[in-house]
Amino acid sequence: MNYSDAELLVLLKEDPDKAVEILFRQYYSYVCKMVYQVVPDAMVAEDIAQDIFFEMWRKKEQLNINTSLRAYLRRASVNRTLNYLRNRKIKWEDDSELPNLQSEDVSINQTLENAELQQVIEQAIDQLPERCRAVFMLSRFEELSYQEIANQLDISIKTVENQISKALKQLRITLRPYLSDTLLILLLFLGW
Amino acid sequence: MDIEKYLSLRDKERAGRLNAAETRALQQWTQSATGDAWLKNIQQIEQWSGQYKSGYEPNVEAGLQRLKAQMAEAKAQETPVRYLSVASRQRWLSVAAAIFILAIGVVAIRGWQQPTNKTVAVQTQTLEKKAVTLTDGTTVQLNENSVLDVPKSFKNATKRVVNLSGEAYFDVQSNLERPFEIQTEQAIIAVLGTAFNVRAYADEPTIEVEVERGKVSFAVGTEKILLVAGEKGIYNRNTKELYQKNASQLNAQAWRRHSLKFVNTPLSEILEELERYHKVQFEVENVDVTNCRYTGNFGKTDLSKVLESLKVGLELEVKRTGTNRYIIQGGNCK
Repeated sequence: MNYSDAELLVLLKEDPDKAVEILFRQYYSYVCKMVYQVVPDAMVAEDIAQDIFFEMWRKKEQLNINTSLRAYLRRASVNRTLNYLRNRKIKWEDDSELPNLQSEDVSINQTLENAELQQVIEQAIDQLPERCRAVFMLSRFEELSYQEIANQLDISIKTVENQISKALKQLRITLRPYLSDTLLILLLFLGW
Repeated sequence: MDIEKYLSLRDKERAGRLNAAETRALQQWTQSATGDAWLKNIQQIEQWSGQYKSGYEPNVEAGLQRLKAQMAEAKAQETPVRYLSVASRQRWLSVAAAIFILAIGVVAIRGWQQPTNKTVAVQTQTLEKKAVTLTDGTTVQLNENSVLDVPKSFKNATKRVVNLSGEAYFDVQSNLERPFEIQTEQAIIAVLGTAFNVRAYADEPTIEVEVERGKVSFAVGTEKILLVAGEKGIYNRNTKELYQKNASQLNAQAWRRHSLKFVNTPLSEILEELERYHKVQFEVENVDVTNCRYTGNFGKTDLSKVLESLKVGLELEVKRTGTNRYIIQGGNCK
């Protein structure tokens, strides 16, 4: 049986155990995956997701949700992920150089199987330093401004911008052979 | 304009805080050849990065079981475990005087070694962890499938005795007059004020104590060893041996720290830690390679990451042979 958001919110007050179980089955995977993109450690992602659902259950009385449940859970995941990152005390300001990576030598016109592209993307992002990857992946959440990322992580907005541009520059190099706009590769030598 | 400037303008644009001059600058840049090229690349990179780790699937059923256990525990905690919280200690003090005389009588009969018969059990299920603060301020983090028995009060006891089956990390509140003692099936671990990890699962062949701070006495029967920070004591139930070894990396605590550290550690030991932490099994084809030493710090303890580093570092081949089973081939110590 499918429940609407409104029905689930009512159920959460009437039969919280059941409501949370339904919510969990529907959104646990969604939440885990979102966190995992920023913090690629399954244990951490699943711990964070557990906390979110547990807190919803525990605080059912005070819960005040004005958005869709999906949006609410999305926001909760982002907040908790930021929290986790802040507590990890990663050295954000360290401006060490990125490893000198070469893009793979593939012919430009080669069409890629989906799986292959997937693998290339995985590797390219995996190679980014932890803080750089985390900020970059966070910046993809559109509801999150740089200022907010900076505030939550106790770093300057400049650092956020630096890390994102660092990620983009690096990914542009490693993914270069796969990016569609190949005519302008030459511009890479013009200063970036 | 450089890429950082562009990012900052785009961010402002999203938030609707762009002024006229900035709007113009942004337009100019996106219409320039360089800007246009970057823009297309950025869009593509951002779109692609949405696929990052898309192969990952959490186990929903296992997660749900864990959540249910946590909910059940929270319900159960409404009453008995309140004794364990520091906050309720005050209330306890107020009634303590009233029952003090009675308590003396009871203790006199029962003997000093058994402070009180009443204990509270804190229990964890598979994949579950729990943290409790005892009435003396000692904090305990319990790993999965473990049971900790704690007296409802340490008052009137000559020492603070708890009972453990499973694994837990203790940060013991110092009290020179009342030593803290952990009893496991066969071993007794006695401390003053310190932090350490105890692993004593009944279905495992060893009992292990790893010390992070302070000094710990680890006794089995009449045998006893003294452990200091960065040391690990191991009792092997089969061989009945009690010995100690260096454990400066404190990897026994990976379950609560989410990190593994190896400094010039033989592969055999690394695999042992990984087997334990990730609940997997390794088979090594070339036995010589288990003596290879490796140094690495895995802040994120994702198994695939660790294996990837080992593969590169020691020129290994790692193949998955089944659920949670791997075979390691090749290898070169360098």
